[in-house]
Amino acid sequence: MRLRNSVQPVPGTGFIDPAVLARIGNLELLARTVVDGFINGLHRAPWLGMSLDFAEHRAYYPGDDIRRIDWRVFARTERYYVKEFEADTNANFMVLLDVSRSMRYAGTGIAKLEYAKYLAASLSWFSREQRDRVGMLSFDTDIVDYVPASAKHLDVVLHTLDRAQAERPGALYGSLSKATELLRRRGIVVLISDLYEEPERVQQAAGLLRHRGHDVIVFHVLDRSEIELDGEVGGVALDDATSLEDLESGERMPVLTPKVRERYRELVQQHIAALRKLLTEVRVDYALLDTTQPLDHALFTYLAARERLTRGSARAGRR
Amino acid sequence: MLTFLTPAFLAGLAALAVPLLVHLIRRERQDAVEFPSLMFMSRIPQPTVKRRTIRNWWLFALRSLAVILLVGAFARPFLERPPEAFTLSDHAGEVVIMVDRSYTMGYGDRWQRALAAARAAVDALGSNDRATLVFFDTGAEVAVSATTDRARLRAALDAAAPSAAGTRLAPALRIAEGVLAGSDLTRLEAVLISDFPRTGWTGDAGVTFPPGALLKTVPVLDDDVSNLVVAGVELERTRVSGRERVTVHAQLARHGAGDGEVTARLEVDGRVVQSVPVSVPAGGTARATFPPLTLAEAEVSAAVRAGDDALPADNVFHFVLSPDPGLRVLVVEPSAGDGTLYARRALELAQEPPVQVTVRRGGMPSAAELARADVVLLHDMVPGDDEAGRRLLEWVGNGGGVILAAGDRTLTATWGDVSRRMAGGVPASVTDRVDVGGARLGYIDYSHPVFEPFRAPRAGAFSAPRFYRYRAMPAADARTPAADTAAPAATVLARFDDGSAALVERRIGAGRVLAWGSTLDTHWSSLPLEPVYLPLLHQLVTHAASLAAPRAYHTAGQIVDVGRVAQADLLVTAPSGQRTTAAPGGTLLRLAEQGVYDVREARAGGPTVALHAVNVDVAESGLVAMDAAEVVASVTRPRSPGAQRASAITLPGNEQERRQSIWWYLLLTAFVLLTVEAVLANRRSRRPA
Repeated sequence: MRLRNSVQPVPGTGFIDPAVLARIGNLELLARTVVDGFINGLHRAPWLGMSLDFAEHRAYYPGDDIRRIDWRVFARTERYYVKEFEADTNANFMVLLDVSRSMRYAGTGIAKLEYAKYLAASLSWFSREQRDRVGMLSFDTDIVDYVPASAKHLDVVLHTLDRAQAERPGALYGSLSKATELLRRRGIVVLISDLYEEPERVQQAAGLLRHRGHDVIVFHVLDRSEIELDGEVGGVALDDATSLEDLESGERMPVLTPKVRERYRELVQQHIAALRKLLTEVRVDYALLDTTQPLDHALFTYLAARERLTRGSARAGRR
Repeated sequence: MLTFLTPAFLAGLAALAVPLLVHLIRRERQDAVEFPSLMFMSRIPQPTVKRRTIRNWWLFALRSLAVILLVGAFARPFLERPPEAFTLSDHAGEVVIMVDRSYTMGYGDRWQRALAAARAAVDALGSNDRATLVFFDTGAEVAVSATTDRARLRAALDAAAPSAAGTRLAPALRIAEGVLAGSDLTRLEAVLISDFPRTGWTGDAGVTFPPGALLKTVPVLDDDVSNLVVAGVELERTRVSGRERVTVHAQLARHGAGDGEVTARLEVDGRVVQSVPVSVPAGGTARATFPPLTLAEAEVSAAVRAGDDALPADNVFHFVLSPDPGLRVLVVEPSAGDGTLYARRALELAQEPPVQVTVRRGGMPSAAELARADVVLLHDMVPGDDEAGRRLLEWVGNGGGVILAAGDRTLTATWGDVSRRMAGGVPASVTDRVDVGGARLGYIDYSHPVFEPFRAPRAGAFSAPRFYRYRAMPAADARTPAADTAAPAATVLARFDDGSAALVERRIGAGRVLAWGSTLDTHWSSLPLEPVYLPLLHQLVTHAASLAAPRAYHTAGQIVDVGRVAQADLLVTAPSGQRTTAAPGGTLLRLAEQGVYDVREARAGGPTVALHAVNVDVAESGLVAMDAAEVVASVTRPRSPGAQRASAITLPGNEQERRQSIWWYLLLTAFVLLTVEAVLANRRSRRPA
C-alpha cells in the first residue's frame, strides 16, 4: 500500500504545499497562514464556538448557583431548571517534537524537521485560537528544550521551534519518560516524530503519557522516499549502485538491489501497521504524514482528538 | 585468408575482461546517500558476490562486441589474396623522388620551388606507380619507402624543411640505385631536385642505375645570384694585466654583384656589443676587425652577422669565446748550472697556449708540485727508484707529461727501474760527433702531431741544427740490455743522421713521455740558436700535455663527443630547443642544426659544461651550379636490347591492408555500437527498478 493512496487531502479545504510554506521565513506567519486557511475552509463546521454554546437543562438541586436557573422555563413549567453549557476547556496543549538527527533527512520534499516545525507551529497557533495553553518540548536522546504550557507562551513556542536543530541521535522512550515527569497537568499531547523505534517501545512511551491522563496524538512524519525507497535523493538515484549511510550511526549498507528494496518496503509497511495497531490499543491517535502532504490532514486529526477530549472531560465532569 | 598486419594488438582482447567484470561485480558509488535510519535494512540479508550472475546480457554483448571490434581494428586485418588479385599492371613504374634539403635551398624561394617540383612529380605518378621519397643534404634518408599512397608522399613533403648541412648528391643517388635495382617493375625512374652545387658532386661516387632507368633532373637555380657570406672568424688572444683579451677578426666574402658597404655586428650572448663597417667588393673578400674584448668567463656564445640577403643562413657565423687555460710546465734541472735558460725563455714566449714556467733545481718534484704542473721537463736528470721517482711515474700514468732531455749526467748507470719504465729502456752512451762538425737530424716523422706544423715547405729548417753530442734513445728496434720487454714499444719521431733515435715517444697509462737524445741548451747542440727551437719546444710541451684546444666552432653535420669530460649525466639543448640527454664517458652527438648547442649537467640548475657553435658549410655559399647533365651521364646507362623485366608482383601486406582498409569499417561499427550502448545504458539507469 502506498502512502499517496492511503492519505487523501480533504476536498474543499485550502491546501498549501509544504514546499511553498518553506518559502515563508517567519514561523508565526506560516502558522497563521495555515490555520486561517484551514478555518475559512471549515466555516460551517460544528465545532466552532463550542465553549459558549448551550448544552442542556437539568433539574435544580440545592446548592446550585441560582443565577444559572432558566427563568423562562420556570415561567412555562413552574419548575426550576438549570442551563448547562459546553465546558470552556482552557486545556493544556503540548507539542513533543523529535529533533534527532534522522529528522534532518530531506528526500523528495522538504526536510522532515522543517515539516514537523510547520506542523507544530500550526497546531500551536490553532490551539491558542481556541484559548488553550500552549507549550512545547523537543528531544533527541534527552530533552533539548522545554517550554511549559501557558496562555502567553505562543511566541516562546514559535521561537523555540524556529531555532530547533537536529544534531544528535535520538532515543524515544527515555526522552518521553522524562517528559512525562514534566507534564503533570492533563492535556493534549502531540508527538511529532519519525518513530525509528520498535513499535512496542513506542507503545510503551505513548502509554506513559496516556496513563498520566493526557490525550495523545502521534504524528508519524516520514519522507516518501523512506517509505518507497525509490526516486532520487539529493540528485542521486536510489538504484543498484547506491549505498546508504545511516544519518545517526554513520553505518553504511552497500548496495540497493531490487530485492532488497522490495523487502525494505514490506518491512516499513509492517512497521506502520504495527504502530497503528499498538497505539490504538492504548487509545492513542496515530496519523502517518509524508512531507509532501498539506498540513490540513494533521489539523483535522488534531481537531477530532480535541473534540473527543472536551466531550470526555464534560462527561467526566457531569459524573 | 584473414591476416593481421599488427597481430600484437590482438593481446588487447584481454580487455574483454572489463565488460565482464562490469557486469559481474557489484557497482557501488563512492559517495553514499545519507538515509535517516538503516533499522530495516539491517534486517535484510545482503546478497553475496558468489550468487552473482551476469546481468543485462544484451548490454554485456554490446560492450564485448565493441571491444572485439576495436581490438580488431587496431590489429589492421586484411584478406590475403592470391598474387593475381593484387598486382600492379604492366605499365607500373618504380619512381624515386630525391629532394635536396641542404641549406643553400633556403636561398630565396628555392625551397618552395623544390617542393612544387616534388609535388608535381607525385601528381604525375600513375595509379599503379610506386614511389620512394628521399631527402638529402650531406647524407640521405628515405622519408617514405616505396608506396602507392600519394597522401603519405604529400604529407612528408609538407613536413619537410631545409637543414643546415651542405650538399652531397652521391648518398641520395646510392639509395635510388638500391631501390631501382631491387624493383621488379617495368619502368624505373628517378627524379633529382636540387640546386646542383659544384661542391656536391665529385663524379667518382660509383653509382650506376640499372639499365634503362631514367634520371630526371630538376635544377632549382636563379639567374642572378648575390650572396654575402661571413666565412669565418679568427680569434687573436693577448694578455693585459693578467687578463686575457680577444680580438675577433671576421672574414667576409661577397659572391655575385651587390653593394660594397655592409655593417658587421659582433654579438655576445645574443646582444650586439660591437659594430664595424666593412667594404666588401663584389666577388671579393674583406676582413672585419672588432675592438678587443676582455674575457671574464668561460664558454660564452658569440656570433658575427653581416648583410641581409636571400640566403640568411650564411650571413651569420657562430663561435664560442672561452679563455685559454694555458699550460703549466715544471722545469727540473740539476742544482748546478743553468742549462734550461734557453728552454725557459722559449716557453715563456708562448702565446697559444700561454705557458707558465716553474723551475725546480736538484731532486724530483714533490706531490704538491706535480699537482700544479701539466708537463715536467727533466733536463739532464733521471728519476731514481725512490719514492719521488715512483710518484712521478704514477703521475704520468694518470695523465701527466714528461720530457726527458739527455745530457752529461744521464749516465747509463744511473738509470733505474723507474727511468727505464718511463723511457722504455736505457739510452746508449754519448756519441761525440764534434770531429765531423756535428750530426744532423736525418729522419723526421712529419705525420706526427709534434712535427705536423713543420710539414709545409719552408715551415721549419730542421737541417740547420748541429748535434755535437747525443745519446741514442731506446727505441722499438733498439736491443738494449735492460729493455723493458713488457712495455709497449716507443715511437721514434726523429732520428739522427746515423740512424739512432733522437726523439721517441712512449705512452704510459693516460700520460706520455717524450725522450730527447740531446740537451736543450747550447752545450751539446746548436738547436737553441735555430729558429725552429721555439716552435719545436712549444709543440713538445703541448703534445706532452695531451692538450687539445677546444674548437671555437664546428660545421653542420660534424660529430662531437659531448660526454668526454663530464662526470654526470648531461642535457644537450639544440638551437631549436630540442633536448636530449647524454651519459658521461663518451656520447657522440651529430651537430645537425645551425646555432649553439648548450651542454650542461642534467640536474636542476646544473652548470654549463660546454657550448658547441655550429655553422653552415660556407664552401657552398658561392652558389655555383654544375651541369645536371653531368650527373645524368654518370649514373645512367641504356637498356640492353631484348631485356625484359617481370611485370606482375604481389603487393606487400601493408599495401594490401591499406587498399582494403577493413580497420576503418571495424572502427565505425564499434563507434556505432558504443553509441547505442551509451543510449541504452543511460535509459536503463534512469528507469526505476
